[in-house]
Amino acid sequence: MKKQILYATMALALMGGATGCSDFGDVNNDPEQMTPEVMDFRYVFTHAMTQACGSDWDVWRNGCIYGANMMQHTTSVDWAHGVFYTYSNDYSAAYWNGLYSGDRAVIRNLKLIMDQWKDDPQHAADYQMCRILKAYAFQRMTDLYGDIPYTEAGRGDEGIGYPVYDTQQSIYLDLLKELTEARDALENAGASSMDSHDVIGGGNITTWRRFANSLLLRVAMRLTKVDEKTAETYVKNAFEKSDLLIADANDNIMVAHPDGQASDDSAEPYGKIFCSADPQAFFLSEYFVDMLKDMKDPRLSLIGTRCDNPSFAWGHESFDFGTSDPDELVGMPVGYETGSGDWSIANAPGYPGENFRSYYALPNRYTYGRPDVPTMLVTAAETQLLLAEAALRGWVSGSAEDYYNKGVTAAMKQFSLYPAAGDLYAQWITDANINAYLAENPMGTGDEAYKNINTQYYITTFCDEYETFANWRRSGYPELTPVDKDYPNCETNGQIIRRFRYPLNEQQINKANYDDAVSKLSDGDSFMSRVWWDVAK
Amino acid sequence: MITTKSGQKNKPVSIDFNNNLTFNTIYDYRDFQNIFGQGTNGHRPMSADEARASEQSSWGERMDGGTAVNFLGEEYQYSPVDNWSKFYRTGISNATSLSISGGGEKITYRFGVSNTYEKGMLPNANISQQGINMNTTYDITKNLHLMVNANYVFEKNKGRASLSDGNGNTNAALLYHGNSFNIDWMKGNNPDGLWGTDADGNEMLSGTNVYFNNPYWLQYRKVNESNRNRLTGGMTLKWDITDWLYAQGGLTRDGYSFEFKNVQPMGAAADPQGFIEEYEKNYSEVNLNFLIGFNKEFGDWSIGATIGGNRQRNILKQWGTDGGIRPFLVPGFESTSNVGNRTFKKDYTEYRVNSVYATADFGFKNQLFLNLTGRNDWFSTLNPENNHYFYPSATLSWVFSDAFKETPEWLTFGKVRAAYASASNGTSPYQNYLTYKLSNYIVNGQSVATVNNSTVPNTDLKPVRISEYEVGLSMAFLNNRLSFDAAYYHKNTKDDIAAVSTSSASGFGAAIMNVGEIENDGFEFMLNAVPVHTDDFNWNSTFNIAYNNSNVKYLGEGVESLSIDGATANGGYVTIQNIVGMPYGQIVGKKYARTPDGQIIYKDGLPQATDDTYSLGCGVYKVTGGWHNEFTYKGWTLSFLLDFKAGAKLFSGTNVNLYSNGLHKNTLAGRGDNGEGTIVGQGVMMDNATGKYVPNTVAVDAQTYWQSMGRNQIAEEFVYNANFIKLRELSVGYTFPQSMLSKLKVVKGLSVSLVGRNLWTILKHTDNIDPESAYTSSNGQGLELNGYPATRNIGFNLNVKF
Repeated sequence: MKKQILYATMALALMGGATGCSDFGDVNNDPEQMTPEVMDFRYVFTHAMTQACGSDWDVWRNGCIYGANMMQHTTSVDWAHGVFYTYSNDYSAAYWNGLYSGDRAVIRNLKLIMDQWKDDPQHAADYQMCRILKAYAFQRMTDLYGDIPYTEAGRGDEGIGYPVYDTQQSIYLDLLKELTEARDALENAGASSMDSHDVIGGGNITTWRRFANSLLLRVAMRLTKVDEKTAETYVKNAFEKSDLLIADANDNIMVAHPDGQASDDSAEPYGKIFCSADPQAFFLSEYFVDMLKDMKDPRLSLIGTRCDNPSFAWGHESFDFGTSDPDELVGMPVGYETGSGDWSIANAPGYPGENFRSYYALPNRYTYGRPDVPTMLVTAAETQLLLAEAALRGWVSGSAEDYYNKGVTAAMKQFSLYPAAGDLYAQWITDANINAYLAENPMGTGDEAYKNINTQYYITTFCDEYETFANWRRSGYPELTPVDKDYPNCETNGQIIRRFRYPLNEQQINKANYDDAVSKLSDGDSFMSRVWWDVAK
Repeated sequence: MITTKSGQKNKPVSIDFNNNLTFNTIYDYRDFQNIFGQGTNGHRPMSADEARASEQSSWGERMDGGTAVNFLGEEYQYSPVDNWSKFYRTGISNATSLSISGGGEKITYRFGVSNTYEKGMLPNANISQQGINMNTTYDITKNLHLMVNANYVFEKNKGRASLSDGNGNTNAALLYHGNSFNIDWMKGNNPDGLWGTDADGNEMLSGTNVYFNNPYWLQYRKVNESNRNRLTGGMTLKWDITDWLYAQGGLTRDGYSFEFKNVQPMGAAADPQGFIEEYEKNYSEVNLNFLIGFNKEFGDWSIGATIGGNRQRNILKQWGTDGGIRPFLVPGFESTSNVGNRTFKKDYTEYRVNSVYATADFGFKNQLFLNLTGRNDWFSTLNPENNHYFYPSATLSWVFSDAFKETPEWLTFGKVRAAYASASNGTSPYQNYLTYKLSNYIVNGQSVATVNNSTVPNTDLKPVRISEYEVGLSMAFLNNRLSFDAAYYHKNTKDDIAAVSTSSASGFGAAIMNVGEIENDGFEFMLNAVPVHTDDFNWNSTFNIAYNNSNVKYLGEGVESLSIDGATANGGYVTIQNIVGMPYGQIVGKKYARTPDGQIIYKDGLPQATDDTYSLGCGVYKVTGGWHNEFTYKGWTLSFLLDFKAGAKLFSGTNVNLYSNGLHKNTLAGRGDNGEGTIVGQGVMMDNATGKYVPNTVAVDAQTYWQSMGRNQIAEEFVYNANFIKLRELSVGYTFPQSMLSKLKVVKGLSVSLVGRNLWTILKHTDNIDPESAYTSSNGQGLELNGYPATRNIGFNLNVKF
């Protein structure tokens, strides 16, 4: 009996020792995932660079269904939203959702990278590069939505789950500060350790300083309606380092996609939409094509194409590359839809019949309409055209006409950067054609000059629709005609959209901050409220 | 503790055979309008293009049997068609099982085999399952006993339906087609008989929406198959040290290996290049435990105690493709070796729980009992500085009917009890830091990486603390002819671990947190009566009801409400939230904008929504219960079960779509004879001249009017009372009497029965859907969208004992 109790007690002690431990060691560390200690954040920075311009997720929705259609670069009879200004939360909030959170979240990723590299001397230059890219992404976000989370954004890992909305004014002032500081800090920050991971500049510091300075010019010029003084100050600041303003198309800040596949994010986003995701939905608008034809613009053959059968997607053996003969390029009239209702495309003048998709012009499939082309972030054309306007205002020295000509030339020569368009480029973009074009379409004087500069800006920002949308609001050019206000569920009383609405779930989840931001909007959270710099004139 | 059937000692071998054959049909809750057919703005489609533009729209003309044109360009008769009866078929499932059991001096055993085959209601969907099980006990010596059980099940499943509102939901594809649309057109005209495929080899769509799929394509071309092997078993060794002291140790294991393959062929509308997803998942849970027990009686007292411990280890591994890999290179060959971009993923998840526990039971005169338990769990998933929780419990009960020497005849049994219990839990593993993953594509020759987590991890998670007290009374009268059990409880949950929604601008959609304090109280009551009891006839009736009321007491410093992650509907305008001071699980959305005296405000003829969101009801039922009756007459048994639930509301995303598509009966109002009618909303509108409200006079066409509630996010219109009463089960059976069986020497028992389930919903308030069709079973109940249709089953069961 005693022996048995002894055995029992020993067994108890043994088993008690075996189970009662609270030390689990490494069990709660996922062995298959990379922790911050192990991770090489250069890969995350590259990811942010390729996503800062957007991915097909937001580009399809905010960029094409809304952006390009409402700016009348393109139009569509399959998507009412940008044509008739109707509302879809998913499409209006896509850029917000795509860049703040999720797999592609540029803003959150940049914040995490910057936390890692902040005090790391090996990445001093890289840290400044992050600031520049972050400014680029935030400028676009605030231009689209207005007041947005900025100082508290992307900080969910610090426990800030419900960020406050900063005013656009405070954001813009901070962007100006960030860009000037980063540009100047890069001068002495040493070499970048990004090397080939840097798909924008290959680790070249001067490229990034040019990026910062040209972007600074763009950010400053955005304020011409609302705060001329600040605009002038920073334009002059940028101009002081005029060698850091992009003048040559070969120096464009861009992300190339030479191995772009239509099946994933390796593709140029607009290209992926136009050739694969929605190949026969977005046609060049009659407004845009007629504009190019009136100006006898040689770029027409590089912007548009006509396909006998546009329904095949990229990669299909029958994918139709189309014909670029300008005589065959006809723009689709704006303000129509499929079906048999009052706005049926069948009612459009010049309607060619049921096979209209083989008649109207599509984005060219050697330039814009393919996945392996570059995305432009800041270009020589845009920079020079903004300088032209700055010169007109007397803010910078030099002849406005010279800047204009340089800008238009750079816009033309930009097409040499599209690898598959070599033949078309050689045929249409000759020096003789450029000179003839400039003679035919000079800058002019007074209001005409502003109109021509910004119309050229409109043409060259095709497929950077967020930039088109911002500059159209700022400058008032080109003068677009909105579509019929009687279309059911039109949200804007027949005006073109002035901003995108906040995502619906912000009202549910981040209510206090959302309500506070909306109270400052002139027309509530609608398409018709204007962002701070978009003063009604 | 899992108990399984075992044999009995020293009994001859007995064999048990059971076969169950069940027929399953759809319980069709649809009550659509059947007057107006496919089309928009009061016009029927008269061209293929118009038919494509209106594939999900029933705003056409009266279905007069005249001519209309479908999406293939063919003319057809414009009349109502029921596609469900064409597409869904009667499912059949047959389950057979055979077991042998017996026992000798030292050993008892039970072995069984089973086979089930089910043909699903969706075409080309079936499940087949085989199982073997064993349960034995063996006395190694007089005092040393070994118990072994094992259960192995092999299941093969094909054609599982996907539940979502995106690509692949066959049920959604069948719900929303225009009212005169005939699903037979979608079979396709591919000469190789490939259903759902057009002549070019692509998925045949009836319109332009690539996410509104061809149901034939989904069931016949888009393959999904899975195999699952599950092995559950255990072994326990018990040593009776003395007759009042024992020790035992054991090991149990539950685990499975799951193989999955999902193929979307080339030509699918949403994935033209096709994709293949294939992976294997291995799961196991192993428990090692020991227990030492003590039982002794001292006079009027009986004392028992145990002390023990358990080590639990759970591992989940998954190896396979990284989601769907694409594109297929060679057409027609659907294997991972035929893919251009072959990416691979391995997932590993492990967690452990170590526990130590003890119990003590005291009994006095077999009448008064006190049970005490204590348990301490250590969780590997929590912060090491705060990863354990001790939770005790105590129960006191008194069988007062035994207390008095002279209890009345009619009082058979009476027991009163009071208890306090507490419990805890850990959380999912790896919540301690952000992790990163390389994406599976390159740009300009460079690899890229991004954050892995979409939910912010939390290193400071504390264990949940649950405590409950309960009082109960059980009594039986008249020799158990009447008995009841009633209990009242109050439960408090502190630091519950839940994922709460965060603003997307924070970089993450959700964060895991300890979320404050929630209180539940309620009662449970069960009444059992035998109203009639004679030699031949017996009627047994049981009624039970439970009522639960919850209250959110605290969610954090200054926090009034939190959205539950994963619980948002239809583009985010309805969420499930916990709101301080209200029961948990509130459905939150916008209401109709109304004047102070309750009139709906219209603008341009369309109803307006409030600017702010409100709680529209609770998604969790307060009352549940049932009533079961069983009648036996000689060998016959007839029984039925009614059950009911009340006190919850349901937001129906399906009905939002049915308004928008013009299929809901309410959308008939205002259409007029030719479908082009107008409707004037009943309410007021603002007169801009006077700044006052005047009666609404603006007429709007019916289509725009009925679509406006969804567009304006007026959630109030689509929140339904989810109460119901259902006839859950009805069965008739016959057990052959021994007198008949003794003639067949071998057969020792024979019984047959007919069972019907979900036969009739006696009362419901939801339109067009089953009130029990909420799509998430997590904390966010109360939302519904495109669920699997409810089914009725009728089955025949045969049981033979040899």
